[in-house]
Amino acid sequence: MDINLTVKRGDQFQPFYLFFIIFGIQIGIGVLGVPRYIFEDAHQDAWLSIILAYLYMLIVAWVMFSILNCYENADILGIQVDLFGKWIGKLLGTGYLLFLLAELLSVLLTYIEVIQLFIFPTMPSSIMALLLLILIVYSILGGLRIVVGVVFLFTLLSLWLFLLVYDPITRIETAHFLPIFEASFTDLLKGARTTIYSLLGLEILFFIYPFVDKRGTKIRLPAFLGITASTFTVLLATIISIGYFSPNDLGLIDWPVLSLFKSVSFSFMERFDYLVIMEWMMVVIPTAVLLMWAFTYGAKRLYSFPKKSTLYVTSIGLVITCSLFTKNVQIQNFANLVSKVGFWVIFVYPFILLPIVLLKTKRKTLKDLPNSNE
Amino acid sequence: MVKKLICFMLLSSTILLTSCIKTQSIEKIGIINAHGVDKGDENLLESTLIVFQFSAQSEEITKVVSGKGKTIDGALEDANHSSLYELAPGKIKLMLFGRELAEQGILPLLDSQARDARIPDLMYLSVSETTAKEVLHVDEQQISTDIGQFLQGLIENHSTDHNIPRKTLQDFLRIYYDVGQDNALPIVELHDNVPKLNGVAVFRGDRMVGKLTNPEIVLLNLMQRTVKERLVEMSVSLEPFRDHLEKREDRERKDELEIAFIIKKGKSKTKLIDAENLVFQTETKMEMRLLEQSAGVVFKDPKVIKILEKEVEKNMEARFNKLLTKLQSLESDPFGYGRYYKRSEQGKDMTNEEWREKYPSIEVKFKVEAEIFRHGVID
Repeated sequence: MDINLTVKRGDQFQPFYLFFIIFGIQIGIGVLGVPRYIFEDAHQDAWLSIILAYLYMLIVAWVMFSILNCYENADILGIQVDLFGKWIGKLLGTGYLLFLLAELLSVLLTYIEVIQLFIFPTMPSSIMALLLLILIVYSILGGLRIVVGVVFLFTLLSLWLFLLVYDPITRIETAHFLPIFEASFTDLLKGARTTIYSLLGLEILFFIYPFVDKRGTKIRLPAFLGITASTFTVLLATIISIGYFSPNDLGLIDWPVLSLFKSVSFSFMERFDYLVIMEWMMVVIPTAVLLMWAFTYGAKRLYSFPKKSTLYVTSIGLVITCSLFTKNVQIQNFANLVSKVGFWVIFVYPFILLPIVLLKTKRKTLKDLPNSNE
Repeated sequence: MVKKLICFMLLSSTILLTSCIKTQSIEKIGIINAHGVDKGDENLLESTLIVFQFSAQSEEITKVVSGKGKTIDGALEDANHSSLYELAPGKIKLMLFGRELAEQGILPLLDSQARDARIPDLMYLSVSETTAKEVLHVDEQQISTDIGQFLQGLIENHSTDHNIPRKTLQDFLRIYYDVGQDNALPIVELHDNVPKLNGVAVFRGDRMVGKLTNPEIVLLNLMQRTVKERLVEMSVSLEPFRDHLEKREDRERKDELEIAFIIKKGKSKTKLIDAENLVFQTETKMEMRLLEQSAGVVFKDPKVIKILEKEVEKNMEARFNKLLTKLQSLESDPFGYGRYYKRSEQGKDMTNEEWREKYPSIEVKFKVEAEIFRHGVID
């Protein structure tokens, strides 16, 4: 297995798309429920927690870029093999891939649960999983450029949902935010961790980096802006939810952001929340597509599995697994587990990796020095 | 060839898979428009539903269906048995509670409504003076539209004029869960067989504990929002105006001056001035227009206007105080003084129970500032 990748010019994409990739993968189904959980930790100071989480995410992204920059054009799978040797490296890589798969499963399960809860209570999960996976498989068959295109378009096309929150904004009760600075620092950190749980997805940088066209100068900026945009979305959702729902009530509402849309009504469309749930597919698909792409691509890198067969086998496996989860509690526990693991994989692991990478490259340059003198 | 086959399979699945969802054609469902709930016999709930049915056979679009059950969903299910078509709750616009039920508490009912994702959050809540059944069974000849839309329109129109508080399910729940404020819902009552909005039901928690009359609602509105173009009647003592009366023959002189105003714009500001002793201050500013007076006072002299303003202020302050005493004895706080206390350092951890204990002993200094802008076209 090569550590560095050579990517054809035709497979690369402009760094500008990193914005949409980060935003698309971070904003998924989690946003619909997260205000409640952040609020449970940090109460009316939830917004402070989100800002803390934002700063932390910026640091993580910076660390990720620093790791990647030590190599010519590598991804996380190659880097791990380079650092820990073939066997451990591949083992870690497999773990990483399994985590991606679990994340994908959790996204699908949660979205299907929302649809069943709000619109089609009798529709079997397997059918909905099948429909979603047909879309996912179809876009991945087109290659990475199509994947990026899907992410770009779907993200743009779902932006109008922001406009709809004007109605709940007018009903905000400002007293819910008072008194400020009540939460202790540990509460704030807890809230920040919860925020991060819902904003998983930065790991995609580790996979997609080799495909970014690096001739331009600014690669980091779009990624940082993407993080900013997704944090802003969570911040907006949380602030509106806290103002709109009573503090004692918010802790009981499962999908506060969807309930916000319940109060939007027009003469031509009585219940906007139904439309929002369907539209949310455009928010979920980018996340799912990127995760699936990373998984199939990783399986090929590690074990040279043909991409198509991995894609088909995993999809069928996912459909079956989706139909196995029947209870609300199971799905929630699974999603919580994925978030917790994700926190360590995405937001702690890079900090362990960075010193090792730096050490290794230093040693390498020292070793290379006498050679260059000859 | 394979591609064509895959294409065919995908296309056919889009057609075939639609049968996975239950079909609901509009002719085959009954759309619930208004939902009345009463306390029935043997602790059962009795639901009265106004249902739209768009079937070709019948001329009448609306139909009244009723059902009984232990829970609200049970009552709906029971009502379903007497309806030809399946009842769909997705467009309920109004929920009406019988007075007896409202006095027992409506939160258990609202909880089920809020939990059900199909039920809109924007439906209005209201209380019937007697039973919901009676109001919803009104003869439609009298009101020339169906009762559900009639009531919804009634509430909507009056609340845009800010006459009565308009409360949706979401508003009610927010205020219920918020510490330091209580709900007030409009009351519907039958008047010569025509429904009429008459007063406001004030709640303690989820229980209706009392009723405010229409003149008292103005005060409630003045506290909560900016009131515009709203008529107020009051009677003040005629004594200060003795010297400024128009000379009219053979008029029986009364001691009271009856006047009617339009509040052009009025709003209040409340603050907590003493957190230890629970003293609040509410300043109300009103710009008014004089409409009518009973005694023929001449307003040529600006001094007379000043006197009138003074009298109005005194009168309004007395009314506020009276209303507060009434609400305190009902232990209901629709003004929301608790919210102001909760913002203070002492009150930040306050619970609703603590506020219930404190509320009867709070003191509010009402200060009304009235300004009379016009007095019509006659002096």
